[in-house]
Amino acid sequence: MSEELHYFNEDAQEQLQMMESALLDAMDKGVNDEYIGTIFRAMHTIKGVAGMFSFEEIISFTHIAENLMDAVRNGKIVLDEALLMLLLRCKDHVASLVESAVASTSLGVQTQDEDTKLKELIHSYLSAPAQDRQNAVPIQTQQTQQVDGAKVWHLHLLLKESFFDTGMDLLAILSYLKKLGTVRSIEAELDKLPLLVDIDPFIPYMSFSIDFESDADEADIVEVFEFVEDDIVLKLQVLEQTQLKLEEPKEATQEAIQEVPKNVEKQPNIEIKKQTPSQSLRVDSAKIDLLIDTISEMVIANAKIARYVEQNYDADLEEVSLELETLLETLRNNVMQIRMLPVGESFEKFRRVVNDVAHKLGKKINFTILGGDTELDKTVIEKIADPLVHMLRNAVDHGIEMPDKRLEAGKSEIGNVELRAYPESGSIVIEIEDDGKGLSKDFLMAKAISKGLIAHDTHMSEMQAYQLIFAPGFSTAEVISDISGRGVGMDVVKKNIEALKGDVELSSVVGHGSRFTIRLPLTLAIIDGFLFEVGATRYIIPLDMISEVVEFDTKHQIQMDKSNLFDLRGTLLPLLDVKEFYHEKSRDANARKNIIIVKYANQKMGMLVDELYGENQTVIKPLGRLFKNAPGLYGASILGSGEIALIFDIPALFEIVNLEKE
Amino acid sequence: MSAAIINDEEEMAIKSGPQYLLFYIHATLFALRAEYISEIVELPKVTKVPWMQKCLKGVCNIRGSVIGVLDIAKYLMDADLSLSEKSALVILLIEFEGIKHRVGIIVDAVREVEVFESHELQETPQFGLPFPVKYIESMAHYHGEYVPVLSLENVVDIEALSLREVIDG
Amino acid sequence: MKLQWDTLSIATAESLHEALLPLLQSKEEVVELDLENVNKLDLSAVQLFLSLQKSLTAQNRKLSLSNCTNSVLAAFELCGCLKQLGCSYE
Repeated sequence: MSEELHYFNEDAQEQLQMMESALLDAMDKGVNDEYIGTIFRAMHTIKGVAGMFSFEEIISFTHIAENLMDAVRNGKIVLDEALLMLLLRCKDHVASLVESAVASTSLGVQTQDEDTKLKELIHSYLSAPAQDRQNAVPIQTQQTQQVDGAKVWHLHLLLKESFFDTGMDLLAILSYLKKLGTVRSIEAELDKLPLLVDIDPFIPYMSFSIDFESDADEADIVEVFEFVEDDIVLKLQVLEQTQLKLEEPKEATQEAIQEVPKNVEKQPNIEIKKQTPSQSLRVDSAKIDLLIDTISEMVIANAKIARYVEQNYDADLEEVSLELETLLETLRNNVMQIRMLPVGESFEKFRRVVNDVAHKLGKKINFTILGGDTELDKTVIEKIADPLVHMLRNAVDHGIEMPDKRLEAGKSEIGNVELRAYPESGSIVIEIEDDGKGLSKDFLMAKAISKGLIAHDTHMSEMQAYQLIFAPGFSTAEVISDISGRGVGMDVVKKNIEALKGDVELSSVVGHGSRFTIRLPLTLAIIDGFLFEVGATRYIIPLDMISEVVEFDTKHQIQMDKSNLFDLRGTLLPLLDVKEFYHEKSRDANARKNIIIVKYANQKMGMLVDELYGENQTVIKPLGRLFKNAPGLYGASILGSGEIALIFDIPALFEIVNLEKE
Repeated sequence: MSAAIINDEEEMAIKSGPQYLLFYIHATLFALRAEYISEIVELPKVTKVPWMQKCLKGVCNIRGSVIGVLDIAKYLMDADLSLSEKSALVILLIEFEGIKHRVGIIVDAVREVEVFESHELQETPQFGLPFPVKYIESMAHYHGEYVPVLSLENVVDIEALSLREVIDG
Repeated sequence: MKLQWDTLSIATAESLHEALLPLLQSKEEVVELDLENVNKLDLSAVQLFLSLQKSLTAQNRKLSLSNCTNSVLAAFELCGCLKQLGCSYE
């Protein structure tokens, strides 16, 4: 895919997502100008960008959809529930149009059908006599409202000969401009207009002088003309400023470019308009990965310097190296920050899923998203989306009861599904909770027995029983429902999450609901680690998974059956002898030993190790496919000496230890 | 001196075929298609990775990348590694599951790179070889001897090698 | 003359131009254009009306636009030509 096409695709996806959010918000909270504007702009922008690629199907469809939204904006058509649903379909349809345009495949029969159907439906709206215009929701609101700092702008607009080739309607642009403020006067200059016998109907001869009162800044106004900027000559001046007149009388006709910043400085209370394009830059994430790789190499190189310093007692160099270390850490954090995105944007997409499923099943759902500003690595966000969609579908389909059943059970007929995210000791936790019928241990076990997954007489703890839902072959329902049973079981969900070095568990109370808890690592590339040695091998544990380190004393060790335990100030914790676990040979049997207490998901355990080396900026490198099955290892890191240290996968280690206990 | 160079060039010009790396493992000469080889380095320090099969010696650092180290003598000739100053690590590029993986194999010494034309390669005899037939792709005629050409897919079978070691007791 | 188009845009500009040209040869002092059927128009159409008006003025004649729909009036207003074209909302 060419870079331009790639950006077109991203742009379109983003616009469509904003449109969908606006539509869903409008359904939930009622229609307002902002939502209508967003929907209009989505269609408008996609049309404009598609124009650059001559994607005729997209242009023709978005054009009609834009007209529809324009009519809505002008209050000619009321945006009711039915129309919102139609617009959702339009959004989906545009998504398929974009998809086939980007893949440069021709439209499928279904898409073509939908195209025709939707166009007809839209036309029926557009051509319907303006019914109940009096009763229409007054959509135009407070556009003439004066805000502190509103200015009167003078715009001079000259159309170049090429203007009509753009296919853009100047009148639509001008009516859009009106949304930003009040047009005091508009004057068409007709001096250049030829007589009818001489006129070329394809060339514009007119220019316009517009006096326009608005609190918008220059960028806002210029943005209105964005799609035709090459085909017009636009001059902008500030004629007067309603607030600053007394202070700045002589500025009256000064060029806006100089005026705006002054104005902002003097009036810190100016409300920044929403339409202001945010100061953002699109960067290919591969470029960021490259940057992170380079920083990783620099961290290693600096570790080498530090080692040299240690050997040679070079105080000056040590100072430089320490400074470099601090700078590298800052740099690293800043770059990692680029990759981190709030999960909210991705979560918003799920509202549609929940809505659709609830709609189909005739259930009533109140879907809440909490912690949308929790940040997570972009790659992780992308990869967690599918598992989350599946689990949300499940929650609505299997978790929440039908409204009548809920009433019988003494609950509100509206079911609650909550999706929340929050950080917890180096991980991000995502939870999906419903207040539906819940799952009982007995039910899960009975089902597992009937599927032949466990023996008749198996004994299980509550927690173990809940994990059955993730067993392969468990959740492929007998009746494959249209909603959840798409051949994907919860085992696949668990696998996907584990591929991200995360894990998932279920807890439930019969009659009150179920909760899925997913834990994911914050980042993928560099971590703060703790370096130590066992036998001849060096290992690293992510620092934020360590709760404390204590010196080992045999009198605290307790041998029970096969399992090793130890006493930490009165609390018994499992003890993993790393040397024994990995069949390492001892270097020196009398060497001092230490216990590292690691924590993960409300569990703690001790790891018996040899020498401790302390904190280490750890660049995570994959061990490679050959070592895919190495138990309890996450990856490797290259130390300053060039040696390799192995990084422990603490969640996996807990799992291994828990399995051994059983 | 210049004559020798011309001779070499003439030889290269006459011979047009794929290049092979010739190397020793336990005094036995082997050949491997050079196109699979990404580089040859001095044997670095190897860090053991636990619970892996005996032939997987661990990982090493090749200019900032972590690369698995394989001792093929273990299953090729059922012999233990004998490291010397001449020992080298031949880094191979192996495509598996659609991704190129880099894996190092330990060799006792590297001899040279040689071009073999198809008429110089013969089918592997089905018996009589001191190593399992599946590891040998063909036999190359080289200075009056027959040199076994290694079959990369079978010698470095990533799927099989990545299985955990079975620990008795 | 009654215009039959529902929408006047750049696509119809050439045919509108051709339709208007004969009016320059007509005899009546006030040329009347009936816009009852026109629901939407863009700048290319407005420009042709203005050019017609200019040509008629040169001939000491006048242009009258009648039965303008609200959306047509809104379009004229938007580009600052409502008065120039002698139109107003009822």
